[in-house]
Amino acid sequence: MRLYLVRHGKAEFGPEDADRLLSPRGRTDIEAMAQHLRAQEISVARVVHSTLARARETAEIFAAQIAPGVEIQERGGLEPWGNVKSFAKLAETWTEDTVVCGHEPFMGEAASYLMTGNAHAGLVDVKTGTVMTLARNPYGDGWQMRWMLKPRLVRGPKMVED
Amino acid sequence: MKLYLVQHGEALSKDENPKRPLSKKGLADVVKMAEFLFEADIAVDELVHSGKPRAEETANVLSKTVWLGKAAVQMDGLGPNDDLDHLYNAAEAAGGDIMAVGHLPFMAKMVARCLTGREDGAAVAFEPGAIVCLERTEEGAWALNWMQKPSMLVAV
Repeated sequence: MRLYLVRHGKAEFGPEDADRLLSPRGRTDIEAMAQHLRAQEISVARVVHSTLARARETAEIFAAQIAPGVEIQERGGLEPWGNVKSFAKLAETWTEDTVVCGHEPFMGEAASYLMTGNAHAGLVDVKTGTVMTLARNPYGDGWQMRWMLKPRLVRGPKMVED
Repeated sequence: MKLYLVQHGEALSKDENPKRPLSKKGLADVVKMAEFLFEADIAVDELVHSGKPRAEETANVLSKTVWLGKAAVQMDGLGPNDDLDHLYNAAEAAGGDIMAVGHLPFMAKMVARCLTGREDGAAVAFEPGAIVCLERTEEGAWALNWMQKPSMLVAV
């Protein structure tokens, strides 16, 4: 079972944090990343996202590329302030490949927790649009990082905001 | 400052060739990785290898796109079971980005040591040709920046 932890793309500024949508650049990044996964013939059975609009939009773009016919699910607890341990328990129950769209610092803490048992180990540097792919460690407890990419690596040369 | 840790590409077995150069698949995989680095616009300031043919060949292919095609330099202490300190200390002191091509289990232990302080503190799934990019923050802590491997570049 593969767990794809995705941080939402760059978002527009707005008065209400929960309603902020992806910026044009954020959409370009997420589309590039989703297309890259599709080109590697990756598909998933489940796509979940936090209650915030920028994560929902990110999930929609991923679902369109790598989860055709799958209905995306909103789920509380994946927000920046989400509880990493509860999430890890939930992830342990999943048996099908799943994309999870959320936020920092939650996603980085979740990856650190799954890999080491310490949410604050600071293992990963999670830029917007980053995809971290984890799987259960075949040689021991916990999870291992399979691969991790950020939009800049699949989209080409540096841009102003990188 | 970035540290790129690379496992050499797939090599011939001892029976096929006692020097164990890259296999045809190993070479093709490393070329794919070099193309990936080229498209991603990545360059390094130093490119070192363990001295074993499979690591040297891998390093010299990657050099084409990340180090102006210069001949990669052999560095001591990058053998499969060598102590991590030599590279670890070199990376801590480095002024620029380093790419080191070597072997398992050394590379996996190095990633874990940088990220957690312990050789067995965290697992990343290496495979022949895989590259792990670690970045050291201004506070001196290492974090995983990205990792890529040939099996993730099947259908480019």
